[in-house]
Amino acid sequence: MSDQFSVIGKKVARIDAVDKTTGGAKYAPDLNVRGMLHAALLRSPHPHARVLKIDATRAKSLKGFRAMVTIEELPRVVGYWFLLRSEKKEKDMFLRDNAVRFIGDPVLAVAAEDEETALKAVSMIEVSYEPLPSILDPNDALDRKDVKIHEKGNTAFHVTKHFGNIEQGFREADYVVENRFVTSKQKHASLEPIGTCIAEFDAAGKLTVHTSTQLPNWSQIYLARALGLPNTKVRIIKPYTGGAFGGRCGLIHGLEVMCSFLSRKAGKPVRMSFSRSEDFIGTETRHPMTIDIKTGVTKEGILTANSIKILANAGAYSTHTVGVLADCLSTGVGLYRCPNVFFDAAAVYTNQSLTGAFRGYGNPQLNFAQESQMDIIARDLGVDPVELRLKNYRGLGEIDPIFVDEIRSDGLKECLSKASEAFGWKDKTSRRRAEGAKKRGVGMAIMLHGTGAAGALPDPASATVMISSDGSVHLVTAASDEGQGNRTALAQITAEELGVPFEQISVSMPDTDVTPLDGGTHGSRQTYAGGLAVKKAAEDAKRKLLAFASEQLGTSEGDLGTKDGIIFKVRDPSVRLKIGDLMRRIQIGDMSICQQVIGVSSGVAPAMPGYYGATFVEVEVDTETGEVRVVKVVGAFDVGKAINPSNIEGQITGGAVMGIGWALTEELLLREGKILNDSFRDYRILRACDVGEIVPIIVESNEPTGPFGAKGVGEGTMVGVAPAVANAIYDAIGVRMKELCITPEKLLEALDRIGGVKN
Amino acid sequence: MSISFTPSAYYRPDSLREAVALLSNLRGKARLIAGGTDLLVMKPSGVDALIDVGVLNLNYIKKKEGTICIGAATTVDLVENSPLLAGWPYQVLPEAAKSMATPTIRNMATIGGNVCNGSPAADLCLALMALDASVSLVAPKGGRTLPLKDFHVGVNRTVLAEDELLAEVLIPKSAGGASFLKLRRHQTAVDIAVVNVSTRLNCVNGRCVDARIVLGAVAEKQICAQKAQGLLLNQIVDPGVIQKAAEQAAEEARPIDDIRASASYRKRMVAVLVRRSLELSAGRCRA
Amino acid sequence: MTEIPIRICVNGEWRDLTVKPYERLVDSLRERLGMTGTKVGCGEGECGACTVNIDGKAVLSCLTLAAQADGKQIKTIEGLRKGAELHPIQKAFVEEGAAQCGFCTPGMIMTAEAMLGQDPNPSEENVRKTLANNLCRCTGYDKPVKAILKAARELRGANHE
Repeated sequence: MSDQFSVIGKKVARIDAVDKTTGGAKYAPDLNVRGMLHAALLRSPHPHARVLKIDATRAKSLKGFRAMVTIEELPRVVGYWFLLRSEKKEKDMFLRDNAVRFIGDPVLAVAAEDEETALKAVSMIEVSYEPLPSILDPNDALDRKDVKIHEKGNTAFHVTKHFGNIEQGFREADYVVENRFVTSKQKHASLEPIGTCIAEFDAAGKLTVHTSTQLPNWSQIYLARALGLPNTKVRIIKPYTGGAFGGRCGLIHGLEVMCSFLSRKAGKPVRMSFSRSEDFIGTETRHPMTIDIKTGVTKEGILTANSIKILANAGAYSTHTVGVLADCLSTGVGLYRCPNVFFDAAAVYTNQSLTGAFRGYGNPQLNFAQESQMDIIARDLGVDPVELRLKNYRGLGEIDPIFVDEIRSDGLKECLSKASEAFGWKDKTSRRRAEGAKKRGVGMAIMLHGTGAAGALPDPASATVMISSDGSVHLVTAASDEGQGNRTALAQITAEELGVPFEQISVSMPDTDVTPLDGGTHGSRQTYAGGLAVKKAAEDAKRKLLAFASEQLGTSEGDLGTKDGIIFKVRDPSVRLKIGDLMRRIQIGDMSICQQVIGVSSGVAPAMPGYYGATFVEVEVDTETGEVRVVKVVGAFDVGKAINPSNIEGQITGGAVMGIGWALTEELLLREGKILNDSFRDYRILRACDVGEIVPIIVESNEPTGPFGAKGVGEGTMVGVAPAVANAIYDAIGVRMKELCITPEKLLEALDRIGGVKN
Repeated sequence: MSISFTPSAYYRPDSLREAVALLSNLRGKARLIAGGTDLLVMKPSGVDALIDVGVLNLNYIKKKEGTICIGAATTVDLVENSPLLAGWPYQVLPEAAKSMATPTIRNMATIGGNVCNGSPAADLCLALMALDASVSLVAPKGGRTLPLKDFHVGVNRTVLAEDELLAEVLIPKSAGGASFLKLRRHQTAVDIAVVNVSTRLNCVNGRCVDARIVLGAVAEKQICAQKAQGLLLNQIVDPGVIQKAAEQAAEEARPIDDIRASASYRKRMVAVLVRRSLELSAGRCRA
Repeated sequence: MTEIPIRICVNGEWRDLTVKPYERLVDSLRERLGMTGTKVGCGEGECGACTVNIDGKAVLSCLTLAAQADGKQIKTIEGLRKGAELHPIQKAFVEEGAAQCGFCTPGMIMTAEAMLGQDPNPSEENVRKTLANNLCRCTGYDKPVKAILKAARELRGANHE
């Protein structure tokens, strides 16, 4: 099937691979602007306090000190695109006060001639605080009336939705099960620390900021509003980015705004670069959640009722909380067909580090609860876990109840059959438990995640395709690539649509002066929404190209095709013309024309198609130490159409490893509001020697609304991994771990409670 | 970047005499730097000068009349691969070395650094103590040699005087089977030990004539589980005897709660690891 | 403070620098010599993004003082390529899609280069144990391991010609 395409479906090398393998790729910390100053931050030692007085006299007398800005002078960005649409809510977007709300919350920033002087200056500044009572437990947030973390109170967001009649649904059930699941505070821990930026103003007051943001256009708007500038007086340039996973989904807390204000004050470019420790303590994290889920099924295993109650810990600031809880709603209600659903989710503020977007958004948390619950139901009813999913999942032709849209592509059955076969599910589940201290077990989970955000959030995508006088092509897109490979996929789509060799495509890097409006790289959307925009722009360019060609060749446009940089008459390919020759003539050769072919598109995607996945996991549990080793993972994902299978394999494997980490080893540990593990030494991400066999499987269900049938995959590869691990642990030793992360100690405690391994 | 670690001088003496003279003159304000894999992570304040041990010719492993002598600046990768340490019980030292950090860190870290850093979780120290190693120190007024088990006094604290330098680690002629085991926070190669143990058993006709059980990360320094060792002496080493010794060793551990694990988990794991280690050591003794 | 004059040979070229006693080699390379291919991911020896080769061994340049490198042969990622021709390890990383965000990539490649210099026929297990030096958040490690094994085969083949 893939042979009909020139470059779609091919594992072409990424366009930036040579840059990255030779040390040529420049990331934000590698940039150097002549004369730039260096910034350092002073961060709050208190979980909650008012800043009373700042004495910087000694610091200011340091040789090399240049400028200082404090939080009282500048607005802090605390809300995201949910607020972009309403001018009335703009005041919710920015915070202007003198309070600090978590240990590590920036108080002020200093700029100096070099980094050492900046740090020294910070150490010489005396800040007096009025410590305020703090809330460190989300359960307290609603009860404590004496503490108001924010003006509007301690609830960041609350949403309740009813479908059908939940009481009736439970009455109809033959079997009801109720459980509480708890998920942990995870950190993106991208290899390039979050974050570094350089801000500089030109003589006329236009600001240029070099920063790795996933949302160049939205970040431009926030920064412009913070500084009181017209949008186009702010230029965001995104260099290569060393990973994001949602951690750069907007402006970074305390980074670009502080840096820009410092630069304006100092009258010089300023570079601000957070250390790894600052990344861990001061930037966004995954929302920890407590999820109470009560599910009713018939004895055949058909869902009749599902009640989901969530208490999410939003931390001190909630930039993405609304979206995260909405994501829990759509995935919680979307994945399974269930006529009676009650959904109630509240996110509260605490004086802990802030939360934000993180791969999967709210789906990993809810999916952990839901897929653990389904496994419990499967075992209690004696139904095969795969069968239970197949009976209940919402698939092709059905209507998604949240977005009220038809499901037009569904590869879940194929995901399940291919994955279970590659895994050996039937064989492994029929095996008897081994003797000895090490026990093996298997588990699985499914997932559904949305591609993009059309209809829920502003979700524009634009592209420009410019053909040069030699036939080579420049694709201009604000698609921000943090390692997913979307710039390569978009180049492939351009090449395929235009009929130009892939090697002839060059792709811009995001630069708001040049690249048109795009909703950003989030929500697994670039291949789909960005791809549609790129395809449309390429179609537009092709139309214009063929209009010129038909005139030259004396045929109608409908008779012409393009391939490998040649325009030819479909029914008589000997009638042909090189694109390069044509472009040279109309751009340069014929002085009466002097036109470039420029294809343009800008708009919103027609849908938010869901993409499915299935993950199968085999674990080995050491029942004497509690250690869990993941022996094998098979992940099958329905991507609609694989534009670049190599990119997708990377996402599946990387997502599996991140999911295993979240399940077994990763958790930010806090004591009295202070993060104890702010380094890789104590925040444990997996290494090459930790990883067992991972088998990625790509399934193509052909999404009709997508470019060449493609939809998303990036986030979903992590969703479902943690519950599959927990389900496998249950299979191995009969212990149901309901709280992440599953440490050896917790596992042994749980094993003790049930009196040892049960057969 | 740290602004508290800013030594203003760097020396590279090429003789031990010059090195200890520098230490003596700088009265505690100087730090030796070898691999730098502890020092440049901790970045302590109050350090005026760095003394690099790199050209002191302390990078060697040799055998002198049955004693294996390892220069303090020998990098861990050389310890890991040394043919002089092949065969039991000496091989327990390469076994411990292989568990340390990553191969890259082992290219840089030195045996002397691991010993002098004085972490109760230090992997090499456990294996060295199971082998009854001693350390040779040099000072302006002369040198002294003492058993490694007397070298550490507490967490990151040794008996080294301000003007004293560890020059050599000595492993005496030894016999039996030995093993080293390390439990981390999860099964990974790169982590400081939650609990680590090293044991050596010398058996004649199945009867234990000599036993060492050394525990790491469960006290303020590495400790020998003396009573547990006593339970093995003169016994036929069978699973029952091993289990009793392992349980006794756990009693002798005095761990604390920290970010890596709780005290109770550590105590429990001592019993598991000591049992597994004794089984391995007994097997290697027979071989 | 006494600044220290050092001579280091970087990618075959001797460079004279004057460095602070506590200056890290990674900072000398990046800031003084403008060689930003070597990255700082953590600054405390945990992530491996700063890996370079000194006298044929992979070392962490964030835990090496510039002064300690005096007189030594240092190879960085910038030194692998011969003109336009990529080193086999680089070529394998490109072909296998082993670089995603790319931030860990130079460190991984330098770890691999040192490893294959000492062990031209490593097992996958050994590759993974050695690559434990380099944290990666994107790839899950499979493609980098495949790329290193592929490069090892190519280097062995080239050596037998």
